[in-house]
Amino acid sequence: MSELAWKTDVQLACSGDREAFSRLVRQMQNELYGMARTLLHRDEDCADAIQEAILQAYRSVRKLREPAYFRTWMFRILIHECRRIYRKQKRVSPTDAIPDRAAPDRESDLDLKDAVNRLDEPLRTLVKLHYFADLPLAQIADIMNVSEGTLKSRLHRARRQLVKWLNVSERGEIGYEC
Amino acid sequence: MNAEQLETRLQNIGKREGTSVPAAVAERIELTLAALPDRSAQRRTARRRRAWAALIASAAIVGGSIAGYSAYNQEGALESPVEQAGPSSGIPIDVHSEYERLRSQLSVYELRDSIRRMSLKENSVSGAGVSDQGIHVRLGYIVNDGYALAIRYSITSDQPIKDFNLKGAVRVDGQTVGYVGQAGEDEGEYAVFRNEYTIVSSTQYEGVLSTTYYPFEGVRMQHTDFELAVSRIGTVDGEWEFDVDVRRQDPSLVIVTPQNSFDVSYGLNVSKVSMSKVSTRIDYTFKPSASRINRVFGIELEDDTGYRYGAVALRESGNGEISHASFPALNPEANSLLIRPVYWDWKINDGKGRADVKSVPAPNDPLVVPIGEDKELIVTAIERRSDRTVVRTLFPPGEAVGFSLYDVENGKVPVIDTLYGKESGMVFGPVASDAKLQIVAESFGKSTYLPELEVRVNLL
Repeated sequence: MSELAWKTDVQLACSGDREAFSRLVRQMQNELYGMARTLLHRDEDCADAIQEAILQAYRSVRKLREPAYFRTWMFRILIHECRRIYRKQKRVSPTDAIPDRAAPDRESDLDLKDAVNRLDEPLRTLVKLHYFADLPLAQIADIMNVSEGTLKSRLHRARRQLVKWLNVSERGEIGYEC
Repeated sequence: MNAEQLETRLQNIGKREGTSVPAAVAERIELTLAALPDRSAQRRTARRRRAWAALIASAAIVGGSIAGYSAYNQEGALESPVEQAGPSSGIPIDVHSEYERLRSQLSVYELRDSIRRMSLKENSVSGAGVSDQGIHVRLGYIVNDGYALAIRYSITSDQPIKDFNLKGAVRVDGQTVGYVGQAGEDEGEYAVFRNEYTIVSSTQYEGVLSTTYYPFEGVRMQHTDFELAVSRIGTVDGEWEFDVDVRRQDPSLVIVTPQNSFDVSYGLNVSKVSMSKVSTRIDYTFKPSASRINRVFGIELEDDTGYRYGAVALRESGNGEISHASFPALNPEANSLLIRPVYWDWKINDGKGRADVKSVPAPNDPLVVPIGEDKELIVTAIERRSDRTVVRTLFPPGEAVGFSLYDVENGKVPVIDTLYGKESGMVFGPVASDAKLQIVAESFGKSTYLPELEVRVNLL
């Protein structure tokens, strides 16, 4: 989709055009899934989050004050939903959190992912978006509505925490929570 | 490990993460997009959905049953359970194993059995409840398939309940998805929940609240926070509130039609029929004919026992997107379903008539409401109940007829529901036992069935 077509569709969607809104979502579906997959374990959860993000976005798209930020705004809604489901999943039985697909990860990746999952918010989401979803800091800054400087500072904190945990873990001094 | 090594490992994980969208997720995105309401029609939809069934007249069943097998989550069948009329000359059909055939039959039996067990006669409520004002409310099963909901309840009271009915709101994940009781349509409160109940005694009531489709406002997660807030029972105001975690139950029987090369400028293509314990959902694409000024297309659903599931207006498909029509749960006695496309040519003032209700009509002594010169509406019963007024009717075949109920002194009586199953008619709000009633019937033109587009779905 050309930039002009994208902008036109955003304008139409903001004025309530269902078809234009659908075209935008289809255009973004790879990115939406990619982002959801970095924040959630299972495809079913990703589908739930994306579905709810679509519904919420459609419901309030006409209130979007700056159409140029449609993409960022969608991501923001999706991240919010992913966090909500993530919190909910933690209340559900552990067997529900088994990934859909056979994990191709190496053991060390699993350790690292587990450690990332133990980070507090907003560090956890930041690390996942930056490293796992490969989003540049400038875009994450838009999505999370904070400055790049703040993000860099948070990343530094997150990395320091991860290094500490992983070094301790590699020495076998602590176990992981179930 | 130092920070540099960590950076490398984190980046490597990112590179290994694939982002191609799995088919199941892509399908859900498409389903979500297809279910988005057209804003211009959004407010009209609830009224139209209710009125539609009453406006379309009944007509003879066309076509014979076709033997076949039902498929369970399969992309085809040896002999397709679905026969779709239309211009396509050859439909390629995959071979379906005996194992799958038996399994699908088992699924039909299990689904029928589950639905039977949900009936008021078969099902009792036990467990904790909420009490207020001397009235005790307990909830039984809550079944949510993501689009439809059914809630079993039981109410007992210390004193007889006068004018039994319920008023309340149903919320899913914090959003109100519908109301129970009389609709306050002016405030945007649509009573999308049907309330079927039996009066065991003056102090005991058993019932089911249900809806075949809760619209866009609802969310469809695997787990939902379900809330029922009842604010009035009979004439008693109070607070009976429930907050329960409900797991979604997906349709247990899905019949997928064979893939075909259906590519016409006009037609209905049913791609899937999904049956859960609380709804029957039809996925379709639809392209209306070129001449469609003032024409509304819809589908009616009925089964081989004559049970009618109602009618739903069709949505035109853009870019091949799939739309959905939601109907009540399968009648457990059904062996096949018939999807009947129909269109209705809207004509304002095609004929109007009124008749005062001077005596209680009966099938052998009906009230005849003349509509114009050559049409009439036959009213076979009017039941005045404490919470509703039920008007049973016969419609002139091939005519689109709507009717309203008036309390002569107090004005138009609000519509609550339409009858379905083996009955035809409308449900209105309650009226006083001595209220003078009048029925105003109006013809909106012809309704025309499209037998060439009919789809029969065999379940066994």
